[in-house]
Amino acid sequence: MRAPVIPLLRLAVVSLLSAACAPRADLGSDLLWVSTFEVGTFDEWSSQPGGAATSDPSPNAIEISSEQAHRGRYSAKLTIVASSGGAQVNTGLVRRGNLPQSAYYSAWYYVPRTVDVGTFWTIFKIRRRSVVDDPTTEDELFDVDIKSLSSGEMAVHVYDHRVAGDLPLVAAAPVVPVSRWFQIEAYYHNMQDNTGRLTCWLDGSVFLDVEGTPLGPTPWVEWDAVNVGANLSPNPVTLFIDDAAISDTRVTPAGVLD
Amino acid sequence: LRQTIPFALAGNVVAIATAAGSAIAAAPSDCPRVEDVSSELQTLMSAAQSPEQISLAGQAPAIEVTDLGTGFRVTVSGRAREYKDEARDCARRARVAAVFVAVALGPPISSPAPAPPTVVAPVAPPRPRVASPRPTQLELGVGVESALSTPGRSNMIGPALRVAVGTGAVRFVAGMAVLAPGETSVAGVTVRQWHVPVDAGLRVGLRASLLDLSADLTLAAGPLFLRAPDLAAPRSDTVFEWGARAGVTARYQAFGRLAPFASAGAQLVADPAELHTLPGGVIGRAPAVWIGARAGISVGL
Repeated sequence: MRAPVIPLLRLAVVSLLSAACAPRADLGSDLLWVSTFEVGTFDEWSSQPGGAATSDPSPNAIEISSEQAHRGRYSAKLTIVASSGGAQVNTGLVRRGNLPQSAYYSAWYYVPRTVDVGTFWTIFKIRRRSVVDDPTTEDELFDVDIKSLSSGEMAVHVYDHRVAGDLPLVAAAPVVPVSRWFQIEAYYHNMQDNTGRLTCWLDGSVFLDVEGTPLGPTPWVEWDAVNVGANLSPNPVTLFIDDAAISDTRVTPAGVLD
Repeated sequence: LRQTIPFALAGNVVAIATAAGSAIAAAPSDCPRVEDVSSELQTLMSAAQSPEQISLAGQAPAIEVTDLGTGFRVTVSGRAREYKDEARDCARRARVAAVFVAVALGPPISSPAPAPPTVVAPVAPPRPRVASPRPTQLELGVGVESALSTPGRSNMIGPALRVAVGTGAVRFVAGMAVLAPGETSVAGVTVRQWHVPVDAGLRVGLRASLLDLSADLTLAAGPLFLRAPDLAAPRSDTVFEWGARAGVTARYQAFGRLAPFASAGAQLVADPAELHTLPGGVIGRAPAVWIGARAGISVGL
């Protein structure tokens, strides 16, 4: 008759312990996709249809690194050498196609040191496709870029390839932190009528809000977290990316991915 | 029939008449004379009682006074008595005859003694029909519940069962309810809740009458089922609540074993669960206070 007693005692102890800690109810997730790089590979990207981790040839590189991590042990380390007078160089993490027409896109970035931006430096991209089923119709659409300020600091801005110019910001020259993780998040409501909307946040503060206008030519969406630039110094330019997510609701800097 | 006895003379006859005046008997007598006997009798009777108090049941008595020469005979309703009086003292004979008649007639010969006054006990107001306490009271009803501590009000409804055992002022009580989903919004996330509170403790009678009042103080526990249906990947979860419950119950005991009841109470949750979503993290807590009401029928077993 000892057998029934032990489970009862165990249940009582567990109940008391669980009572001591606040119980937690997990109600589910609005996250559609997450990459924390804790698997030590780029599988979270490359295993998705249209997903990839790409880089121009060495000395440009993309790799899993434990040098910096927003959470956990690993992040993606993207390195480019974009010397003055040189051509555009690219490294990036790509989610191409099979994305919702309306979603929040978030990634954490770490810039180890201040970079002098000569031509451009892009870290976050939204691309378009004029014909959904025709890859040859892909084109650039919006770039979240970093530019150098006269103060020596760096700030974000958003480049619209349709008009070949910057979109007006709601906050003047949001400064990009150096040697500290910061979050870029965008809400992309890719509509072809006047209900489209693009809103961007830096560390939770909105700096761009374009609404009531058509955006991509089709519902097709590509989102990239990249290190792409031209005429940067000093070289090489290294960028760490971590905790990327696509979500139905805002991730925010306090967002939890797992 | 109440009859009075008037006294009348008819020659030498003492006549006793009914109220209607009919003579009953008559007999001659010189000594004593009828008038003297009547006079003496009236004196005696008036002294003792009014004639109205002398009533006959049925008929008037026959009174005869007969002069026997050396004596006389007095007859009242067949009762006769002879007295010797060789001296023929007529006045004395009249007094003796009157005394005999008076003794024979009164106190009221056959009138019923006045009925003792009917003592009518004061009529007490009808006592309430309080059902004798039954050892088990089963309360079946419908419960409604609302959470106080969430940003949006969440109302739930469902069947409720409660049982009280004992007959004293302090009884054991236990209850359970199954409350259907109610929705609330926590940090913009729609949260659907099912609540199954179970409690057990003591019931204290506050007032025992037709309207029976009692108070419950119990330990409460039970599962709270939660789901956020609008999330991209919703998940159901169950947390175990515990705490205390207090409530009051009113029962109207007018129908024997069955009594409608209504109750109200509040449950305090000791450690409300954190509500967790992705990417929101902890978006809030489960209700810390539930308030509710029950109504239904109480059955005495």
